Amino acid sequence: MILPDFEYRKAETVADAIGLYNEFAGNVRYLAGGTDLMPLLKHRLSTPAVVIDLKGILDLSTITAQDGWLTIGANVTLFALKQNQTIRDYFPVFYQSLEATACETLQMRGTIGGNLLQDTRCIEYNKSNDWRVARGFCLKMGGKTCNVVPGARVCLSNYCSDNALALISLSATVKVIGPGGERAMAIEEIFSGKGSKPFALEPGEILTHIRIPMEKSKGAYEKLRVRKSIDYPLVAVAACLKEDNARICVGGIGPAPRVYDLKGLGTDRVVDASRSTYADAKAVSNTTLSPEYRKRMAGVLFRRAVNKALKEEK
Amino acid sequence: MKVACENARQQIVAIAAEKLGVPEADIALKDRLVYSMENPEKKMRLSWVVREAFARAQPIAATGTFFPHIDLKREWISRPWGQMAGTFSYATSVAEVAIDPETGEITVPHFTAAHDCGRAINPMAVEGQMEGSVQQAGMAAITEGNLWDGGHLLNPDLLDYKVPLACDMPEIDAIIVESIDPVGPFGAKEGGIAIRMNAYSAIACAVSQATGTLFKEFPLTPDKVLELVENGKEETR
Ligand SMILES: Cc1cc2nc3c(=O)[nH]c(=O)nc-3n(C[C@H](O)[C@H](O)[C@H](O)COP(=O)(O)OP(=O)(O)OC[C@H]3O[C@@H](n4cnc5c(N)ncnc54)[C@H](O)[C@@H]3O)c2cc1C
Repeated sequence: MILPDFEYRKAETVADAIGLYNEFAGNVRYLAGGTDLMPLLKHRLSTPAVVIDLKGILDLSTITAQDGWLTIGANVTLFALKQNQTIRDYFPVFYQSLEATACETLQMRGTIGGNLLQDTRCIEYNKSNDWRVARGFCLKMGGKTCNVVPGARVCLSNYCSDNALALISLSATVKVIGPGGERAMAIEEIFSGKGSKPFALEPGEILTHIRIPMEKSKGAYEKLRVRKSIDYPLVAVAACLKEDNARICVGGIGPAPRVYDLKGLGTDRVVDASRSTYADAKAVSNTTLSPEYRKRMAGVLFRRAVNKALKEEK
Repeated sequence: MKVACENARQQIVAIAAEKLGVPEADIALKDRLVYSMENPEKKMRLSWVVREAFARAQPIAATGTFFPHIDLKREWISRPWGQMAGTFSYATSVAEVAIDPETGEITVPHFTAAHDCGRAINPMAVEGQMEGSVQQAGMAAITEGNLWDGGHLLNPDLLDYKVPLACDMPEIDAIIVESIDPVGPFGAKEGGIAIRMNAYSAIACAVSQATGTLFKEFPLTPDKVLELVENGKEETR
């Protein structure tokens, strides 16, 4: 498949990129590693006039530990993060989610910023233009109906970043800079919960940094997929334990991850919480496995992730 | 292929015999030379023979055909008897599977494949064929299948049509069992297809045995396998 026509611009600073955004009146897409964006362009799921390359912004390519935070630039590759000793020592859940992401070649190209802001996916959406024309456009493409659940009024495509789940469980925050200025928020606040437009970012906002509080944690990441060598999650759970509390994040089902905060880690407490994932998980037939199965597995992986993290503690 | 080579050799021998002044039956080919077996001093380079043939406007070129002794009247439905192939190859696949009882995920720690391929002309290539068969039939039985929405193929790409990759493969013991076939070229039969035909049966049997129940459909994705695990428990209760 070939790319559509677009203009390519490379920014050297964040201000540069925002200047370009304004210059082209917002008809642009930001580019990092391109592993998520390029297929979307080739499938004509996105047709910007201009693609603004962020890879030249050096400020976004560093990892620093300072003032009780680990600060990660959005341009750092997943592979570089995996090699980072602080991440291995302090945030095992993040290390494991990085390891479970796609495959190493993609980890070397894909950035953490791009990984967090990857579009939601659906087996009826990530398809060529010809396929979609034959099938009929769905809600996420601007059509009138959902091709998975006839009559549905909202899009239930799946958000598939593995690392977002780990970062949420670690209580990470993000910094964004846009035409309207700079702001910081908890990472789970970047999600809108809407499959058709999954991120609650203002137009033109650039994700610049991710910050994780520098506290040693116990953690585990559990991911279900059919092909172990490379596959998006069909459902996944990140668990991070600090003393007697746990923050657990379930993802891969629906447009936004779900967070569960547990106080106390008694078996009953964990089993109860894992049960509620079943009702919470709004799975539909938009992946290769059945929705009922994925709903059930949310609970299984929930318990496994917590137990694995607890074992590590002993 | 072998017959074509023999025919090409015959053309070389004819020219060499004429040039060296010896009978054709006395000619041998070795180390890029054509020589008389009776009197090895009489020799010439193979490349000269080829050039000579070219100069005569009859370059060395040959074809060969081979047709096995089979019963041509045989037909799968209306007359399913009679000799169907020139020779037969045999193979055995043994799959070892582990099933996660909570998720239904299958792992295959070990796979043993033994194949009677006639003579293994290139044993490494035969092993490669066998390993490819374990991938394309054995592991594929767990991951590969088309998904449809009406007439629309839902997985027309290699992301959602899941071909197992190198790191998805089990440890494989490929055992070559040689039987020198009287008809096949150099005693060879075939390398690969027989494993291709039964590797998925081995996976299927192993899964049936592990779950204690039968099933109707490939691929053995974890959602379906979990159902088998649960049905199996009910059946034995
Ligand atoms: C075959 C395949 C399998 C995969 N499997 C997995 C998997 O198992 N788990 C998983 O988590 N991911 C998976 N991915 C997704 C992959 O990890 C992401 O595509 C990658 O991390 C995105 O990073 P990138 O730098 O290439 O982003 P890009 O493609 O460059 O960008 C992605 C999106 O983010 C936007 N963007 C990028 N950087 C910024 C920024 N700083 N500010 C604002 N917007 C920005 C872009 O405009 C674009 O919309 C898979 C991808 C492929 C192709």
